[in-house]
Amino acid sequence: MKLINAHYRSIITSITRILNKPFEHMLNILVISIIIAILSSIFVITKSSRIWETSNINYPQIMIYLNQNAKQSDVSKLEISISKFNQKLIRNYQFISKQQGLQELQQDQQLQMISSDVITESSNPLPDVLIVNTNTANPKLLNQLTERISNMNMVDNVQMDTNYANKINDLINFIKYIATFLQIVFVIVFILVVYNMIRLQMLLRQDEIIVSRLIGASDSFIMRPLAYYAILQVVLASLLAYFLVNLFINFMNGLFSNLKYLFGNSFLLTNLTSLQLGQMLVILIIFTIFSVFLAVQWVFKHTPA
Amino acid sequence: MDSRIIVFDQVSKIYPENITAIQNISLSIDRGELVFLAGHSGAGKSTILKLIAGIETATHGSVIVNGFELSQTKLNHRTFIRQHIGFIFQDHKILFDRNVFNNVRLPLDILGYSEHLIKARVAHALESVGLEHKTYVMPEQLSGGEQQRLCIARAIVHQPKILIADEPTANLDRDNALRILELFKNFHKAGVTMLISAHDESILNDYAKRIIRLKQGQFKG
Repeated sequence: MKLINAHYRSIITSITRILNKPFEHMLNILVISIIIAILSSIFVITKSSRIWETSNINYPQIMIYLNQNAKQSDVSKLEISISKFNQKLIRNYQFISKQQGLQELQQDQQLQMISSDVITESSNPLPDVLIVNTNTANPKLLNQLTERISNMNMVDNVQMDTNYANKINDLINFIKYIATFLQIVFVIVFILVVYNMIRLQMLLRQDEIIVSRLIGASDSFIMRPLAYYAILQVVLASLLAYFLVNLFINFMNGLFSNLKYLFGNSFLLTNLTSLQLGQMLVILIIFTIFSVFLAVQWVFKHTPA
Repeated sequence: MDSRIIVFDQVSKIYPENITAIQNISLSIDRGELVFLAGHSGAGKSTILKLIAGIETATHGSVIVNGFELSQTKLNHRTFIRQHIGFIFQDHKILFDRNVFNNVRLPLDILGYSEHLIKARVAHALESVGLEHKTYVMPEQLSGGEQQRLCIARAIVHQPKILIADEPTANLDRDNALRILELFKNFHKAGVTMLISAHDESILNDYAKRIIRLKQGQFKG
């Protein structure tokens, strides 16, 4: 009961402290909200890119050439095996029979001469082919997949454009690394800003801290109102940041819709879901408590016991 | 239960740059006892009080307060022990950014008292020191004697077992000093263990049950 009472009083003290000098705190909230808005924007861009990437990037294709003796039942068995693969790896597949292959070859203007002279229905050297559209650019996963398919019954040859796969993978990884790097940088900036804000608050209230410790205040008694004070500011800053991110998304989507007319390809930023917003808030609160802890330890080191 | 609430055993305190504040001091104070520490400035009175409150730790020897050996106690635990001690500081240590009520309630906030109990306890403490009419006044509007009484109210509001006063009459005129000592006498009657330091011994004669005289960090006489 005493602990609940202490937490309740710390919350009230923090609210009162902010309400008493709203403009003084507004600057802190604004700075924190800009950092959170940048962090959220990076997250929104990464998330939207991932959605765009899955529907617009052509991941490498795997060409499966079947044995000349493969029958329809063998093809069906192979199709069943491939359809059992994880959907994260395989988007879809397409079967091209040797007859269909021949027809396509005969329709090709440049290859018409060869196909009509050398290849006929009765002596069709083309194999049945399965074209697998993958859902990943990860070379390791693609190689594993190719190897597994190679070992399947009636598979004569498996080909994949590894060079293209590597290029796509490098591009995706580069974007991921940049996004992760920026997120780490802004999380560090966030921790430093909150740390400095609390350190300054404590230095401003150093007399109170010294007296409180002299008459028996524990570290948690001193830290608790500061933690709530920081959390309250971070929550307010997050609300402001959510508004700023919305403005950013609306503005950017307006620009992207213009680009759609030029390139015929739409890229849209999607906002954070309420679950993602909640998760981000929880993570930010954890970072806030960590920053407050660091600031309190720093001040305690420089304040007489 | 041990009748002794404070025990010093061969205690020395040496500050940085080899300044010896007290040397081989051994003493014990019983529960409910009223003890005066007398001596000139630099005699070691404040050091003894700080050692009891756990503000300083002994360089040698052991200090036991209410059954706890302070030199072997972690800082967090020492602050817990302080919750049962009322400390009246020589320089008052009043918080000037809040009114008298909010200054006095601080120990109760630390102990997690409920709001209605805080109001009752603060009112009682302020009444004990004669400051009930100044409850919502800011400290800078108080006289020196009133500030001292505010400090006393804060020290007694949580009804501590031990009350320590460091030169409580130092900056007061004789009338105010006697009034403060009269207050201490009442607390002592209520069963509080009291340890009071003073450099002017003449004022103590009417109140002293036991006087410990110090000179250059050692007992005198």
